[in-house]
Amino acid sequence: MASPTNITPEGEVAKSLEQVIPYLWVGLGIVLTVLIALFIKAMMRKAVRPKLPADVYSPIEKAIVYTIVIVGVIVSLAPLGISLTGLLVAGGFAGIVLGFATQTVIANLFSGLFLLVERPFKIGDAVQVMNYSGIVEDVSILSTRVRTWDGVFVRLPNDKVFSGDIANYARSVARRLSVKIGVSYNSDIDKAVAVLRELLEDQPYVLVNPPPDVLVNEYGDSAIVLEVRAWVPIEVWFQVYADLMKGIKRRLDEAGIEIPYPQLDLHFRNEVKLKS
Amino acid sequence: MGNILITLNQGVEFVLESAQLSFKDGVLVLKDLYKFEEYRVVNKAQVTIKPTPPYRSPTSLTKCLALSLKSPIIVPSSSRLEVIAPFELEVLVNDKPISVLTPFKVKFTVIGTPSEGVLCRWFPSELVSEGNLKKAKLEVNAEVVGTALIKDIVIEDVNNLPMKSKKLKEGIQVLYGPVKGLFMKNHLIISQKKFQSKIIEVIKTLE
Repeated sequence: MASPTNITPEGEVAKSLEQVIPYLWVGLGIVLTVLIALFIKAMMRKAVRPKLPADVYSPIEKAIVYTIVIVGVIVSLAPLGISLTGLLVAGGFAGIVLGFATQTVIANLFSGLFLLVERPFKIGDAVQVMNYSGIVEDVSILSTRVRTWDGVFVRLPNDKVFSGDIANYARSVARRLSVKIGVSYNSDIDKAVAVLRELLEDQPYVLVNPPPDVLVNEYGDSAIVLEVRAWVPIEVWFQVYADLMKGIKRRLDEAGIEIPYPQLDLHFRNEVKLKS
Repeated sequence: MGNILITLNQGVEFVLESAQLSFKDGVLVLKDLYKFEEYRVVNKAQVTIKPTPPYRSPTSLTKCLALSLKSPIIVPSSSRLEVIAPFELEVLVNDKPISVLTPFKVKFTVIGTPSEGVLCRWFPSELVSEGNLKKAKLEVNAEVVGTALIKDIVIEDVNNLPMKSKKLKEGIQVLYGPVKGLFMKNHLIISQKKFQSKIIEVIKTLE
């Protein structure tokens, strides 16, 4: 018969404490980690946030705070015998598996970070990305959302945006517009140019500098093609384009300058007899 | 002389350059080169006009105003110039602003390049003389180091310009200023004083 274990109440308390103390260290470590993360977050909001745009600051803050918490928790788990090396090895295997599974997500994530650093556009800019033209509504870490001119919201993956062509119409103060118009070969070209220059002068948003221009662009099959070039503030570009398209026809009509239909002169090599 | 409010009685028509305003039979009609607006106004409403700095008509795109002198002027050190500047007319009904008319033709320009410049309202200006006082008068105190030839005057925030106006028999007179600008050789230095302006596009500096 086995003899009863000779454990004193003090010994039981000491053993219990011995078992509990590592957990207390873990708890203390996690609490300290969270406090440090919150402190850094508060300091960043005070010192860094005012200097950066919201769409740039937000992901940076999240990345730093989450990194502190993850590293802090891993270090805090050491008293329980969970080593950083073991976690890294396990994490490495898991990372490889996850990497294959989430290749596209990771590509989008890094492209999103590069977009935030390079900033080819910002929220509210008028852009053309991947054949979609419209206003940038949101740039998140994985995708960019564009509201097209006809009101459709399009979600574009960041890796496609980053590797594709981006045209940003909002980066300049002004944008040039160009309209081509054919006038009859019988027209007085100087008069046509003067009429179009007058139209540009009367349009308030056609900039004085850079100056507008009207030039002969081409001698076409049916018409002399004139080109109207004007720099216009970005905000009213389309409005001015629409006004000029309408105004050009009206002014040329008023001045008696013909905008010809396509014409083709036929010459017969041999005499053709027409039947009446 | 302070800021004036011109009160329009029923049956009165007000015309200043291309700005036209008529208030007849309870119908208020506002017209300039870029707009035509018609309002029905109740009998006891009071219609007033107030001259304001020019940045809201036809649309508010910029508060910068560029005055381009018809011919460049030679400016000696610490010059004081008086040049012609535009203004707008704010229309109020019972003290509530309802519209802005421009008596003058509106044009815009870019100071600098289209990619990195500044959009400004543009106005062909000249030195003040007796004949052109119908438009506003702007006083510019240019701190010039040496003598310079000046073509354009750019005021960055026209909304902050001090403005006074008075009613004349033949219309209204609007005076701005003074505006303080600082010019040194080929560099533009923006004044730190309350009303900022800069004088630009110097053709050459005369030593």
